[in-house]
Amino acid sequence: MVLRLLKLPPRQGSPGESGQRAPIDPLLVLARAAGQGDDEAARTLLVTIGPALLGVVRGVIGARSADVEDVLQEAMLAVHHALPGFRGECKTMHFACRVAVQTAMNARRRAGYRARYTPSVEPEALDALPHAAASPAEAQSAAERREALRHLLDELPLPQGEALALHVVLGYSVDETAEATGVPVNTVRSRLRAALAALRERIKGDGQLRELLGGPA
Amino acid sequence: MSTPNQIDGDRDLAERLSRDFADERRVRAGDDELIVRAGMAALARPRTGSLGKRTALLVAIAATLVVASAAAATSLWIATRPASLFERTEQRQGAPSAGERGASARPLAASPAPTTPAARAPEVEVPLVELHAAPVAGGPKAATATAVEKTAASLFRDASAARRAGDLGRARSLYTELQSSFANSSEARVSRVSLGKLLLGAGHAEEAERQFRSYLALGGGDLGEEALVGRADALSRLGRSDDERRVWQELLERYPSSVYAPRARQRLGALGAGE
Repeated sequence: MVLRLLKLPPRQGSPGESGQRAPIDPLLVLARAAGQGDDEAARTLLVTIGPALLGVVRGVIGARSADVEDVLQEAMLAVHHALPGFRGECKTMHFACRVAVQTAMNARRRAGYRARYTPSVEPEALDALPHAAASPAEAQSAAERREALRHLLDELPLPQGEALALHVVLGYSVDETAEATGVPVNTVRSRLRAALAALRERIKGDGQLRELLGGPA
Repeated sequence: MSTPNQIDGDRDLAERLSRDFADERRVRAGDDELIVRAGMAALARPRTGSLGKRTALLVAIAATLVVASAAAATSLWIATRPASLFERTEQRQGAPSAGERGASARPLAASPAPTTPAARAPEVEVPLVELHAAPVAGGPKAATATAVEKTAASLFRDASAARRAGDLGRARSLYTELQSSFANSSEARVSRVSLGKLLLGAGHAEEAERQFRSYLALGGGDLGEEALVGRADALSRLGRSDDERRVWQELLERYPSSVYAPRARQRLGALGAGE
């Protein structure tokens, strides 16, 4: 069974399983110009993809983290550095988000988030809740689930962590994750299965998490 | 091999977690400024050989030690060496000693710092430039030679770093220097919003309002929403209700789907009720 699309609607030009149509990439010209040293193009590109990169950074290190701006800057720098080597194998946005995922995951590991991990969530984390319908208890549960997954990202092998971050944190479909990482769809599925199995194991060993996720996973 | 139950469980788990993370991806107030600031700071950093914070710190410590050692060695050598022919000639001609030269140079260094155009100039004097105009390489840089040449990008980066570190005084000083030394750069323009927020946060509403207004006077720009909101907040603090109302209305006209739109409507309602 295929892990189905989770968040993103079907896109025009998505290669999908068949991979017949070439993806349409409105940012490719900009990315190529930036890769060739055009600073104006680089600036425009970074501002354009900035919201997506910011979403990545917030997803991986936490929206309330004090390091968001630093890591975003680091991710933008990494994208800028990587552009000369970008050959358009995938969409520019996917390429940039993948670089940002790796940057943010490295930042977490470097900053010792693992050591500082605690299952509880700071009360300030609830300030940013966008959904009025979410009760404080639901919000707390969601925040703790996010923290549990971030903690897992610190421990997983990088390819698995990257696939899990793209698929769950960013809401990429399996196809899009495969396109962004440049590996076959089945490889992405294997990585996701392994990552989610690891998460299930974590949940089994943690009564609080088990309750948050509604019983044994 | 996974069982069908496990696969279904994986899918449910992934879906639930993805819903949890949807909150983290949403756009928030202030994102535009954060993105522009981070992008400019990223582009200000060298394209190759970038250093991590820890590495940069170690390099800085090592450089400091090397410089300190060299300075100590030089001082020792100067103190113990015989006077050079040049110095003996100077002494014979009554030229001031090195210490005297330093003393005579001090009044120049202590002369009043030039006031920044941004801080004093009326609105009409704000230079009109495009947001993406390239920084002026030969702009009116500080006349004093410094060990590290300052650029618009480096000042912007340093000011942003100081602001993030909570050193508001230094951040303000660097933003002001950026605006006076590289007035036509895109960094200087963006800094008006950053400095405006800084000033507003520090309770300097009048100066903050001037910064936001000067940004808006330049026309267009990626931070129009941020500048309008900042200006409206500053006007609110100054008690200029009519001006504040006009700014909120302008925000709704120019950016009807802005993340600030609900707040604008709320304030307009409150201001209207107050009439």
